[in-house]
Amino acid sequence: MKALYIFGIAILLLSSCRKRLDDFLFNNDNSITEYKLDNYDGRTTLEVGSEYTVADSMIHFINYPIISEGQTLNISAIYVGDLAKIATDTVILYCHGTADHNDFYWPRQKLYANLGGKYRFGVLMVDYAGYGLSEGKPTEANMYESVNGGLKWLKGYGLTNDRLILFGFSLGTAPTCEVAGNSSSFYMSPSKIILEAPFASSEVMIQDASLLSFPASYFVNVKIDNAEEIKKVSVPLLWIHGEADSFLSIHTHGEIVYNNYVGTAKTAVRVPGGNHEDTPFVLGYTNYLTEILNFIEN
Amino acid sequence: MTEYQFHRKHFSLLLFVSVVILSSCAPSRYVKPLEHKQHAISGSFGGPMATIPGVATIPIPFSSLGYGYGLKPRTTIYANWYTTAAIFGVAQFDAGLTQGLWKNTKSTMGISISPSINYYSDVFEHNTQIYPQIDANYYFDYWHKTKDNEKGKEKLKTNNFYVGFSNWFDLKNTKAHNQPQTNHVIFSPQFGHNFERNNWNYVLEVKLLAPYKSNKDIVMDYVSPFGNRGAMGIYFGITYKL
Repeated sequence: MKALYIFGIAILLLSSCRKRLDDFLFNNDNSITEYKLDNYDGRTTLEVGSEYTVADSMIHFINYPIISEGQTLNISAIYVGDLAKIATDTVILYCHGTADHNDFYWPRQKLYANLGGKYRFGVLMVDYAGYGLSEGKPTEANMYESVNGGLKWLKGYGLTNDRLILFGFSLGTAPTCEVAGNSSSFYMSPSKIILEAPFASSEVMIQDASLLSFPASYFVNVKIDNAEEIKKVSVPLLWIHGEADSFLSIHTHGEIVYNNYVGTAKTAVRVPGGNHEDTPFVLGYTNYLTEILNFIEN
Repeated sequence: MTEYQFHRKHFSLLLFVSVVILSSCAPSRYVKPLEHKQHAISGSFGGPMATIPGVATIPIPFSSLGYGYGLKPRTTIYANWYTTAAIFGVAQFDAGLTQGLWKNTKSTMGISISPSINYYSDVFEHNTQIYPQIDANYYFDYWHKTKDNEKGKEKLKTNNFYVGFSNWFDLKNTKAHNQPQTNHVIFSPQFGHNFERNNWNYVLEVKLLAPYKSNKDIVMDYVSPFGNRGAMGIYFGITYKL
């Protein structure tokens, strides 16, 4: 009887916990006090050579407020390019992956700033709420609103939808698909999207690892579901994925997203030997940038 | 640490639960049936071995509490509640029976089979899943001793080894995004050791989870004696016979 009593108390206690694993989707670091860019001595996504260096005069640290989940948050972002050309030229909004903050992805922003020549395209990279210098907590809603704030900022400088390219990497493919698939809810709508190493959904992650058909609701509340969102996207798609991606399988993640796309035109770049984050390096930076440039210009 | 390793470190925690609820979350139940009309309460702890970059290679710590009853001389019924899953808002239970199929005249070895049902439902979206399971084991008492304790009662000590397998069945034909579910049967061989001491029973089990399935290109770094296939689980169980 005593054992049953203890058992009952344990059930009550544990049932009240209801921990969720959403936070583990975001590997943010907001401990920094400034962006150090080339002087950043922490780990970074890639190493790129001096030929991709960008001039200080072309680097703009920007901030804008967003209102998300009842809070006003100050979001930090980095724009590389000539601000005056936003009103007339094509701009890439880069949605980075889940790690750390903008400094981690700075080498990628430099790559894209050299796409088709130096500063051919302006590149905006946003730190989602809770990342880097951005205020708030990383949540699915805050992430979307952080990107939406970036769209508003670009629109304020005169960018129009036909000159907006949305580029998402890994976690960043979630806001990319969300904006492209539900453009009426956002300030702008892209003319093309690029997805590098997209994940299909958290449910696929779980099912890949468990072999069983578990629903995502057993673990997370987030509704990120690129495999479904991509069905609503009509603008042209470029998909880049490492065939040796040991984190997000090209077969169970990338191909599902790519195959579910039913828009106007799609291009696939499969990178033999490419892992999750090194596809630009494995493909060769020049080849990698050429693929992207061809997609944007054609 | 590269980004995807970093991802793994964190997503590993996500997948902790994946495996909680996987067929690997507990040792085999009542390999040897309880005595007729005997009650028992039990707990188990452990799970698949996984490497979390920058942390360690550890058995994932999943836990359960349960109750068993000797319905007939060769039949034990049982039910278990998975406490780790409850922390995440998932009600996970199993219920089944162990049926002794054969034992020798000295009762020092035997074969048992344990069909059961695993039930899951989360409190958020009320998604409910049921997975049937069948375990079968051969056990062998290699050391057996009785003696009197200070109260004059007979005291039983037994060590036994067992070997068998566990089968989980996924009855669904599709998984996420309408992709075909091809993993309808998950077969996992296992072996373990029981230390029976008076009313207490301690079990240590090693389970080789789906050793024929690739463990590459997923967010978990499973540890397996078969390299890129399957995972190895280590479990500890304790039972108190009332």
